[in-house]
Amino acid sequence: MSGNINTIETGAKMMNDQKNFLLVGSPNSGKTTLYNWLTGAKTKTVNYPGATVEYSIGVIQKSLAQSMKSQELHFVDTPGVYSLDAQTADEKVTVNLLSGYQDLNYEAVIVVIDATQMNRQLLLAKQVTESKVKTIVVLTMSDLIEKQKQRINLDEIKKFLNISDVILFDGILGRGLEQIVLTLNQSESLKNKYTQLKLSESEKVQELKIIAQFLKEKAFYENLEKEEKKHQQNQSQIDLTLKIDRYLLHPIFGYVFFFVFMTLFFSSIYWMSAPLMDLVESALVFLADLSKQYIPGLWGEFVGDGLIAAITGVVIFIPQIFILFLGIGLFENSGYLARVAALIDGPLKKVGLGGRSFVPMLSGFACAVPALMATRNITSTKERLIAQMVIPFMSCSARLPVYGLMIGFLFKEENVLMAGLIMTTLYFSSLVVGAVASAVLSKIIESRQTSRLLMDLPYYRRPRLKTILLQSVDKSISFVKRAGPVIMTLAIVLWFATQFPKSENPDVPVQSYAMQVANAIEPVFKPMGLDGRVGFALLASFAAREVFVSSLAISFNVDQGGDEENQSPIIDRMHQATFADGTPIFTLGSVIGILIFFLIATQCLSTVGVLKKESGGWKWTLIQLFGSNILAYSLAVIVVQIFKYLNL
Amino acid sequence: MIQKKHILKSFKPVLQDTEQNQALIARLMDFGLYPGIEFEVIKSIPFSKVTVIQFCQTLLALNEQEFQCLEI
Repeated sequence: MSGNINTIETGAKMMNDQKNFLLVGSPNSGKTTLYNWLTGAKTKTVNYPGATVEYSIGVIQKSLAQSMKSQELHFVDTPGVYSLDAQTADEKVTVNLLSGYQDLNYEAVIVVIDATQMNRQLLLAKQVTESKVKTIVVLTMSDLIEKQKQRINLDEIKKFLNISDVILFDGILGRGLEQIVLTLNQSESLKNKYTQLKLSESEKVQELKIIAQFLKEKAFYENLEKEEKKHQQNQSQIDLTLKIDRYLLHPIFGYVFFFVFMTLFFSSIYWMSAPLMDLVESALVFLADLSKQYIPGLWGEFVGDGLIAAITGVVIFIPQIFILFLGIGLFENSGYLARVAALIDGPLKKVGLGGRSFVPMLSGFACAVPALMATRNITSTKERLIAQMVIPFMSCSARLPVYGLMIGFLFKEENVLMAGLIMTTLYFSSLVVGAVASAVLSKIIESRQTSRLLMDLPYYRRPRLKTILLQSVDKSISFVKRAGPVIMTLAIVLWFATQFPKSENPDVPVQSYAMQVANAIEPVFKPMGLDGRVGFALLASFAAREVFVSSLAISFNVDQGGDEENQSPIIDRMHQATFADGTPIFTLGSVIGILIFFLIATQCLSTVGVLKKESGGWKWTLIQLFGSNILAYSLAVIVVQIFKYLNL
Repeated sequence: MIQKKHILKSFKPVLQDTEQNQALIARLMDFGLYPGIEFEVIKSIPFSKVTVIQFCQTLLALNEQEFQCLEI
């Protein structure tokens, strides 16, 4: 997620006394693409409604400002709105900004309109111009317009909207950007006084009819030959989408395709990354050996068994994280997600959710934080709260290292296909857990509001592979950056805790601090089939889930001697790990228990913070936090005990 | 494949709550639907009770109540 996401409270205060421009437009109008061109930001653009739910602030990028000799312009990318009659929480953010929330001053509003959707988006532009704020209209998708051999009559649109600036912009090549910057620099510093005009139903109908008439008669240059071509081109674009939808929205095969796509996606996370993971692991094991060989004494052990073991525990999973983000990026960019929302609206309604909840839930597979914010797009309060409560159950990227390690332990390298299927089962299981929790919550939470779908289905477009690849790399790096410091700090602490105190007499062994703590907490984890060291790693994972893997790596590296014979990767160490009585710790039962715990438990503090903010208080946040952890622990214990009883 | 052209006559209140009805109708209009407009039913997904309609260059998925709101 981009780092410049702001809340109204913090952002507005910073922005006064600057030359600010609000970017306002319907979802999918190309608003964020323009914002990215203007500011050089890499905010994600996707092909479904409701992607921007909080506003972002950015300053004009240096190179553009220099080449255009521009002033320092500031831009606010607002959540998409269909009209100024806000109905959802994200739309209210935009209307609040327009109203000058906390005295936020702005020079002008840049209304971004998809030129291919003027029949409805001109209404928004009219609403903005009539609310007495200076308006500049930018028509995006001009590349599509050109392909359709269309020519928009900009003068007529200016006259229609009663404004002086309407600019064409091509989001792919950036054509029109210079003219936008030039216009913004020339804009006079006016004190805008936003006055919202509420249109009645009949007034809105009248406006829409006027727009339709205008588009038919005046918006385009008259040219019969070109008009003919335009019609043909438009039709072919629509036809292609309709042809694809014949299969993807088929009453039966639509669900089959959905299941196949999801299975391929989840299982590919494991099998596509396997060769790369082997490569990374070999390189890091080699590095650990090398450091122990060349750095003498305790420091060598610290670097080899502590530091590099901890780094390996995370870095090795980067290929999986990358493929996860790549898959989600492809889904988001293609336009398929909106179709899935339509397909599963009915089934989800049966458990208190709706099709609109699916998009944030799928985002939850990457990270729960932006997914929770994306629930603002859901109209029904009850449905929104249920979605917020179940999103932490979706298997986020931080769980992936744990899943990867445990599946690797169960199957090693000989059965990659099976391992991939287990990974898929885990992801589908998180959906099942979410569905069950949602069904329970829908019985508890009362509401008279009805669920709404009303979903815009964008035309399919070929995903921009280069952009998605770059975004996936960015996200993989930020995954390491986020988890890295926590892992390193805990690795250092844990390594020292496992090394000290040292016995003065080599014949009299002394328990390390870590062992003392592990022994003290062991009774809590014994029912889960785990010893104190694994329990310690599990507790440490509340700092960041990925820490579980690095903590295991350090604990078992050090406690088993860390000598030449034990230079094996973590999975081999897990196979060798035993309780004091010699029985193995990691069995089929205990590993499944660990997977169940991580599948259900909410551990991430950032998620807890955002859940509190989005759900409006501590009540539901604490219910989610404690409820999920108690359930996770209890289920893990039950399953482990059943396996134990069956001698598995 | 279902592909029927219709003319939207008016919006029909289908929800019990008046405010919710008004909000739904307002949102349908925000999407560009208004009495007199021609639209086509492109797809019906019975299991999900969702109908996909097309008008101008817009494809819209509507749930059962939302579709019932369109009087044709």
